[in-house]
Amino acid sequence: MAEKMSYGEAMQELEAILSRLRGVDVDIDTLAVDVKRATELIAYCRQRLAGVEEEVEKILQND
Amino acid sequence: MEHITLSELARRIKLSLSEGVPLPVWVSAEIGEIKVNRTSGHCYMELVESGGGSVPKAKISAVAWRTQYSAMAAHFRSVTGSDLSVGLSVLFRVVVTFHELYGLSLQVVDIEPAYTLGEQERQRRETIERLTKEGVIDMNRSLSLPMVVQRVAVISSAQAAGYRDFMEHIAASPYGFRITLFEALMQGLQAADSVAAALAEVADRADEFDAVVVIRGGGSQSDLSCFNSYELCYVAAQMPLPIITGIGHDKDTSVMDLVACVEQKTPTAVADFLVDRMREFDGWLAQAEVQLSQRVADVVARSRSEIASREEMLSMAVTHLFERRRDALLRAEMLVAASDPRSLLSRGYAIVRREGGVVLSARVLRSGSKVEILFADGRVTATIDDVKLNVDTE
Repeated sequence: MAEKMSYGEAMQELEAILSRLRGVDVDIDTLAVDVKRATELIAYCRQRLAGVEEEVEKILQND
Repeated sequence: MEHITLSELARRIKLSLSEGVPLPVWVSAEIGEIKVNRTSGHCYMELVESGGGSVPKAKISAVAWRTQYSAMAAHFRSVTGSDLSVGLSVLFRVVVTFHELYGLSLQVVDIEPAYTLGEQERQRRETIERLTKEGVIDMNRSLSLPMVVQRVAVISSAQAAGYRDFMEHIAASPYGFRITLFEALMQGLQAADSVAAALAEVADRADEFDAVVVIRGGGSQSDLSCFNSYELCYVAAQMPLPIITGIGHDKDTSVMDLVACVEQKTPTAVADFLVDRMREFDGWLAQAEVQLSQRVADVVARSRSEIASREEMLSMAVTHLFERRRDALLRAEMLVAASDPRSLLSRGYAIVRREGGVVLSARVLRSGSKVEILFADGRVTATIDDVKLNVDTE
């Protein structure tokens, strides 16, 4: 696993997912994947904000 | 050997002094040290003239007796808004005294506060000019503060009330800040160098932090002149990290404030600023979460309704199909029923037959022919009496 993702990177990815979801034809299969990733990113940022370092590693599986 | 006593020497020195220096005299100097005796109310100082380096050009002890001191301090405060403190450039009216026991001393009898203001203003303007000319004055201001400022280098004095207030506010927030203190003298003659050194230390570890905070304060109206120092502000302007100041002076902004990326009034204001920033990002996350679940709900609802409408279309098509078939079937049934000869007979028609065939025309009959007539309820045999054809078929 690479070094911790920065807030900026997490925010960028999150923005990208949200803008994808705003599109007209959203595939319901990719939706599930996107939602899972977005939820992961939000939880990661929240934990980091609170300064809980250990939790952070567990949340981000595939980065 | 020709000699005089020490006290005689002291007397001569005294005499020589009073003749040599027109007293009292206005003298410009910096306050190197200042202490007010609580009980006596007398103020003891060390006046210096800095030589540019660490060794001053001149240093003489001074004293302001209680009455003069309280008058001077009040006057000074009313003009400048500050108290007399270490590091200030001042214009004192002094009487030079030589005491056989205490040696040389200056007795301060008056002060001109405008000089101090003037000096501060001059230093301030000079520093700004130099920094502008060298093109560095905007450097720190043009840095962008990261969205999340979590790892913070704090330059302050650990004992300072400002630092404690700052840490209290930070700790009270629900966010996990990582604060590292870089201690420095925040007032006095060494302050500028001390803060500059601390900044340099932070700069060496710049990748460990998101921003630098310089805080000082705690209520006392002490001197800001160290933060107008060219040397300090030169270093500050070129800091690779954004600087946030909370130097606690609401009269003038120092050059340090001008140069810094973000300027706040007090250490607590800085802490609140940082916490608010975290809160903003936190809020953005919450919004993203709401948007996410809304979009999911939308997409699921839309998919559901699409499926439902297709279901409906399908069932309608099937129903239509059935109905059409059923109608066709019904019509066929009716047709068949109508063509059944029995229905003809039951309506009163009779069928005429002759030797194995149905008689379809009157023409084939002659009088005397034997025919069979079928009714709905039976059959009769008959003999033709007479045949008369319709005129229009001839």
